[in-house]
Amino acid sequence: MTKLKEQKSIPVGKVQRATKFISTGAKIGGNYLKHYGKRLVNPELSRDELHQDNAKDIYNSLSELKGSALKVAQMLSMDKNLLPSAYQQQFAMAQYSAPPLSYPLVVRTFEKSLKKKPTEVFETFTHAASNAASIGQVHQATWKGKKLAVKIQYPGIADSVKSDLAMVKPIALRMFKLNPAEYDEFIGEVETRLLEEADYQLELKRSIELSKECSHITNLIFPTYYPSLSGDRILTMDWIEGQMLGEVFKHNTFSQVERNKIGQALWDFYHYQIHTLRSLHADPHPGNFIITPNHKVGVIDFGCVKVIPDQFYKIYFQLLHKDILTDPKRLDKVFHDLRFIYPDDSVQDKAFFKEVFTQLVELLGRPFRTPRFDFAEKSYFTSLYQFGEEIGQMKAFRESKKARGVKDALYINRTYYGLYNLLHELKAEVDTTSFVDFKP
Amino acid sequence: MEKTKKSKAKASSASADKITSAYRDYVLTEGKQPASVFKFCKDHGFREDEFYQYYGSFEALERAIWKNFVDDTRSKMVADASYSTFTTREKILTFYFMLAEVLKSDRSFVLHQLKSWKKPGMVPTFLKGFKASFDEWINSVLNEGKASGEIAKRPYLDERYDVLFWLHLMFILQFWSHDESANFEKTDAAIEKSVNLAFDLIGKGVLDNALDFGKFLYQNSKN
Repeated sequence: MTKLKEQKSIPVGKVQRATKFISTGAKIGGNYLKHYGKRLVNPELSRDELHQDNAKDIYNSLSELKGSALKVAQMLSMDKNLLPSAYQQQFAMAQYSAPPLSYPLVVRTFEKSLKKKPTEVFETFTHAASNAASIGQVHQATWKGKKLAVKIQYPGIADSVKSDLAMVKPIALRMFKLNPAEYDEFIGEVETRLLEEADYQLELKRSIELSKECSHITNLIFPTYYPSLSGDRILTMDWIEGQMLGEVFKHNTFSQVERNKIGQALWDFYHYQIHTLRSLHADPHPGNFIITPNHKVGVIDFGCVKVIPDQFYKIYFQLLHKDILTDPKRLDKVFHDLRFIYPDDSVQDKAFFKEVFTQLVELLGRPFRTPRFDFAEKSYFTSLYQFGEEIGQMKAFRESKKARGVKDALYINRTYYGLYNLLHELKAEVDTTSFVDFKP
Repeated sequence: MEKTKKSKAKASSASADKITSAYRDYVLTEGKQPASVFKFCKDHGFREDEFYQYYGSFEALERAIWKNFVDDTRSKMVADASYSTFTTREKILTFYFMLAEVLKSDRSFVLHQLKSWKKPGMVPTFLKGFKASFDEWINSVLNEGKASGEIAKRPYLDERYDVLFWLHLMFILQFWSHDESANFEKTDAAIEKSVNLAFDLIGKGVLDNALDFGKFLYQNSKN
């Protein structure tokens, strides 16, 4: 117990990560059993021990996950903000591991949403799902001779989001020593996003809007959406031929030029959304992109969209300004505005957090400070992870009573980490200057 | 025989329907059974012997309403051409989903009747016809499943599967009656998950291995 368990390997792949979470879940279950077992003998026993056991198991499991969006949050860390992303990831995993919907349930969903059976709507409709989507699955269909992808959502997702988040609250408060107000602020942001993700009507609207706005970006393609064939739990779009981005990572048969082309398209896609649309696809997950045979990027999932408030935009993106690190006064102001530093922090704390966050800004902003950045560079990602690790170990961080950061940053950070990781796995070199001429 | 039953039902259906819907209406507005068949008929302009032509008592009438839920579901299912291509698991899922849909239009009446069901271990009178029709259907589906190998044959145990599915159906009925989610989505999830679990149990696999291992341990513990 006194010695930290050595981490022998980094779990990779969705299945392994999911397994990790399942085993953590099992351990937590075990902790409850242990707790109630002891309580039978000793009714005086407080729940503190239980929470500590839980927190330890969750933390052990979380800290083994590198490269996931979670690590991401852990990095930008502000440590406490890690929490919502961590859990968010956990729930996402739980949903991924849900067994596929049976065909009768698919039929049932169609009848409820569109008042017709799938075979009455489409000319052909596959009995089995062809892909898993984040909270449902995809079937292939034909309609008027066109090949379509039909996404169907598992029933009761919205309800389970709420109850999952409610269940986690006591453990989370304990584990990250957050006060309930802070917790509600951050978890509220996560809950909003997750609930939006479960709303296919909204996703349909956003998909149509965002894909129209982004259609001019080079090497990007978007499916056409079919509102008349979509409903509360059903979303129908064109079928895009190609392989999932995750497959591309695995087989790695692309040339450097092709990889750069894909990487650049992804980069431009995100920065156009952030700086021009101020509203972005906040889920850079390899399962949300399809690479076509001529190396274009097909974007197929707009479930998670973060709208960036103007006020927040003005402050946050000053961090990417090239002169920010040499302008201590301005940096100081931004840190205060973003609540990295509080006016009532002690002088010591102020100095400490200022140093840590300056380092973080330097590290994360590095790709923006050169005209081209090679995301294949291992040393950059190693130093990112190491720094995240260090922050995790810092006592001042763990014990600070304040949440460092603002809720709007949560999904922006998540997006950047996701994007960096995609580009890293893709081993792409990207022109990073394409969208930095914004006016802070 | 099938034919004569059908034609007879057809000839009298208008009036039988009238009686049942008048009865439903009465029970739901008054919250109780009518005082007597005599009073009920008088209030609705039937002759008492017309009532007895179809139902011997209010209880028989309730049984008929419930049996009709299952019969309706069964005939709707068979009407879909693709039904015959389904696996046993899919057939059972389809049955539950359709039954939930059929019950939805009569939810108030169903809930009112279920309220009077005090002893969960006993099958109440109003469910007797419902159960008979369900048993008939589930046994034929289970036999198909055994023939196709989807359901494991287990001496003695597999004879009792219909009982398990009856309990399962009662679980779903209870779940649905307490479900407050929009469009009874949670019932859909409960059906899906519980049928999957049931099939994991009655399919070849875990349980057989567990039994086999248990038998082994038992035999060896004697030494």
